[in-house]
Amino acid sequence: MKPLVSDTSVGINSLVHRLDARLKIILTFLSIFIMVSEKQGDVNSFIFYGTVILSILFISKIPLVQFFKRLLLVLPFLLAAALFFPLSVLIGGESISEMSLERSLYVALSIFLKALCSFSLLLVLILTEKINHLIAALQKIGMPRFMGFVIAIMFRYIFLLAGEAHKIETAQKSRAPNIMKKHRLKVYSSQMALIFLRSWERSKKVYNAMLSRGFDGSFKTIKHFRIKPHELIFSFIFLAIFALIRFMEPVLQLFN
Amino acid sequence: MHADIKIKNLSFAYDKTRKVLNNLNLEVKAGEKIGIIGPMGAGKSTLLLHLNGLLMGQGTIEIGGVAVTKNTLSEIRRKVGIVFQNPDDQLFSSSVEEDIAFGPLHFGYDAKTISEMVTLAIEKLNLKGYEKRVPHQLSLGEKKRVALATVLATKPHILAFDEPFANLDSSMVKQLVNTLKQLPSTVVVVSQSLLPLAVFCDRIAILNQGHITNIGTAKDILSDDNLLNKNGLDLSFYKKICHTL
Ligand SMILES: Nc1ncnc2c1ncn2[C@@H]1O[C@H](COP(=O)(O)OP(=O)(O)O)[C@@H](O)[C@H]1O
Ligand SMILES: [Mg+2]
Repeated sequence: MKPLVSDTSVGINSLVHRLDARLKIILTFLSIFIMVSEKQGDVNSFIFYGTVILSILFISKIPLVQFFKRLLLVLPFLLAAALFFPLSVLIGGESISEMSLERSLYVALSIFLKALCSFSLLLVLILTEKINHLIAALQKIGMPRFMGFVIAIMFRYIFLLAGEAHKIETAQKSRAPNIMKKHRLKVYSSQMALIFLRSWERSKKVYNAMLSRGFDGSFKTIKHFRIKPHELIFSFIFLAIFALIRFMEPVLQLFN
Repeated sequence: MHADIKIKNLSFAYDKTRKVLNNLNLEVKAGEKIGIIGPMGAGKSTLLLHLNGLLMGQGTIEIGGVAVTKNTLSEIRRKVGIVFQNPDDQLFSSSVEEDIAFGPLHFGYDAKTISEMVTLAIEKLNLKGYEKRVPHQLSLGEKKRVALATVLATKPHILAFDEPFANLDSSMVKQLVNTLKQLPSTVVVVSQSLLPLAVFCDRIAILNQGHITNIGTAKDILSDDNLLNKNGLDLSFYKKICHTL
């Protein structure tokens, strides 16, 4: 079982990997903000956003399989969220909402694209930075200590959960190979309870081990956070492109 | 020599109905290697968690003359390193190197010292070439070595081990015993496997019913079959085998 987030940044080196973690976090959230502020139902700009994101993906040398596998995991949720609009129009008719079906499809598409592009950028962030560095950077930007701790524990928890799930499944299969077929739901629910219990016990132990080695809630890293001039230039260009895409149309209209 | 660990009237209960530790007293001299044995569930692991303030019960514990209290925790944790039974609980970083650096980093050493500490620990435990490996993908023997390295890196005065010999094959036991023997620190080892203790322990204490019931030289304790039997422990079987061989 491969968790959604895992420390895969080990070993690959690219401009995006090297980019200062703080800068990367700020860039990610600013560009998500720019995209999300696009007008509902406007989908044309996303051709450009998409192109920029794909280029970033290319520059970052993230293995595409890794990227799309994770994207695929959340795709159903994004689709479900987006389809809410046209479905409500279809079922409730125009009396419920003022929209036409066509307009609602455009709104749905733009919601979907916003979510898809935002999530892609987050994935690039996660896949190009070590989790410890991300947390340390977030704390440097001003995130409260306990939040960093919560994120770290959650991150650790995902691994534990996956590990425990695997162990329990193996144990159950070896003892009762056919039980899965007959009482699937019952087996799953009892498995889930066990997994959470065990993971909780284990995360307490991991936390003890961290405390023993001087952990006090704030993550430290060996890495020195220093922003180099060319990183600033890169960030500026990146943001400029995003802003350009966002405000291109209104500006063009101004001249027409 | 002065006492490095001084435990006085320590009592502790996870829930109010049953005391796991009950008026426990123990003194360990600086540089001494002590084994703690006892039946399963006697409270051995619980006792270890008290040594660096992960748990705090009633009574007092002094480490190198400093009482374990909320205010001294960071000082105490520098002095006492604990190697937990299951290395999966001990290793949580994405590379061996980072995991070893975690302790030195969080105890606030500077970058140069940290890198020296990491290098030294890697050399000491034969982990050259493992620096970039992912801890969770190593074999159990390798994980245990990394776990020990993460604790040894900060050179604690006192090292405490919880069941270090569990699930190790005999060559790994031999290796570990040799490492333990050479450590300059005070060493506390909780173990169900009695034989390895005979090799490197100065004294052995029996923990039963929440307190130390017997303490003596390794030889005295391990040769007393009656005493071991009374505490749910057994060596006579191995002794017989050794005799036949
Ligand atoms: N986290 C916990 N919560 C409640 N009870 C516990 C916990 N850890 C251990 N115990 C109980 O305390 C007793 C002593 O446990 P432990 O110190 O692990 O014994 P030992 O290491 O000697 O086998 C056992 O009865 C155990 O069930
Ligand atoms: Mg134990």
